[in-house]
Amino acid sequence: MYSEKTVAYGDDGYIQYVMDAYSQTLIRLCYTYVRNICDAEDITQDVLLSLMKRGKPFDSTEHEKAWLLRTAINKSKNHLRSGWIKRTVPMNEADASEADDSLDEKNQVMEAVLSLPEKYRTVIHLFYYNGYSIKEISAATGKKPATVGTLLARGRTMLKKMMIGGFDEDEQVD
Amino acid sequence: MKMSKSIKDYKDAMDSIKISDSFYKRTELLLKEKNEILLETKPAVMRHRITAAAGAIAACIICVVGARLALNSDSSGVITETALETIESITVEEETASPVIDVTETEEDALDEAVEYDDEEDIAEDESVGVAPTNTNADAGAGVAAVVQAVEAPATEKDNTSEKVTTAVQTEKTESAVEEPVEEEPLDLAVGVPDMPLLSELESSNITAEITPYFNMDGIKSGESSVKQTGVECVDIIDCVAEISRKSKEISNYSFVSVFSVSLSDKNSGETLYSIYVTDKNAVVITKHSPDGQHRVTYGVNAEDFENLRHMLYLRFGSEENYELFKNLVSGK
Repeated sequence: MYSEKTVAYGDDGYIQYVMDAYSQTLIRLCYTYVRNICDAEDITQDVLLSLMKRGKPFDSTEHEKAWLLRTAINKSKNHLRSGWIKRTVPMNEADASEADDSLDEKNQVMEAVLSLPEKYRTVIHLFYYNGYSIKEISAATGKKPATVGTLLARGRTMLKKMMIGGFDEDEQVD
Repeated sequence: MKMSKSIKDYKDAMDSIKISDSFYKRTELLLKEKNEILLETKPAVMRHRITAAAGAIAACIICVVGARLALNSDSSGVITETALETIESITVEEETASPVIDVTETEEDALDEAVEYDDEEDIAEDESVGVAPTNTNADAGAGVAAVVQAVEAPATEKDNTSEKVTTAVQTEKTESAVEEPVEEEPLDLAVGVPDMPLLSELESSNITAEITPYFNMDGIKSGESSVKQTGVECVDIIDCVAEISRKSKEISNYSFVSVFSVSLSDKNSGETLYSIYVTDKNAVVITKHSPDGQHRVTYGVNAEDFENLRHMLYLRFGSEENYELFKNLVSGK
């Protein structure tokens, strides 16, 4: 495991470092889009493959992170646009729809977040789950920081309306 | 950092999503195949680059070849046209070779005829002069200064007419036949009559020059003090007048008074050939005598030549010291 970046792009252990550092984040980010862990894993691997083929190093760690997140978002969107996905229903989702009563409260919160429109969902996920700052989210999504802040506020408002008892947030927004 | 319950629930729910072992296995496999992937990627990239480069080169070659073909086609067109033109011109020459030669011969004949017509011109001039009024006072050697009115000789007009006729005949001859001018063949006339020699061609040894002054000065009596010279004595006068007639321009409607007259006659026969009048102004009148008549031409002479001629004539009668008096007298001062 690489706790911190000690390798540069092109080194032998660079992909392993990216795997250890970003795979969980990328998989879960892709999951917010595709809502299927297997597809999220495939998309994440595709991101890694794209990283291998990129051929040129990043300017900084922030640049590297933003590139990975944005590539994952774009590949997830592309995945959702494919005709195969539009004509199929995931088995776990089908199972879940059949077992709605078994969902606990945590899953209800996640479902509420995942039911948000894409622009709010991504910002909420990156901000509250990954703990990224508005600046980092801005770099990853390509939106202005002010826009990211606005999306965060509107997303929270929407979640409060959706969830019984509201979406508690004691965490300060940067 | 205090985490709210909802956020914590969301995080727990997301963390509860288990990433399958297959993902890590596939990732390990991906890492193992990384070099191969990169090797495949590089050739692919290289292929793309090579393809792009080859495409660009092919495009350039196509453009160059196209441009060259276009240029060649243009230039070949020009060459073809030129060649065609050349062929055409050659063809034309070949087709018209005989006529061209004929025309050339005709032109040569026409030139010969023109020479003949020149001879005819002289005769025509003489003939026309015979009709023109002449001043015989000077020849008669009257005692007073002869006032000679330079009359525009009708012969000159006749000359022009003859030239026009000659030109027309030349054109006609160039186009058609040689036989046309036979009817007006002047050679018969020219053969029987000895052609009048030009002033420059006169044999001074056979010429007698009679110089007559038309002024009164120190024993020189106008119209009476004639001097006859022969051969080398008068050759300078003949040459000087011949030079004036050669390079001076004709003038007309010019009134003057004769100061000297020079009559050039054949020494043996006494036949008058030329009568030359040197006037008080820069003019010399030359009358050409022939059996058929006279031809008079008035020449405007430049000051140097005129002074030279007048000076040499005066010295036949007076001294160098009195030349200035003579000039003042003639000019009326």
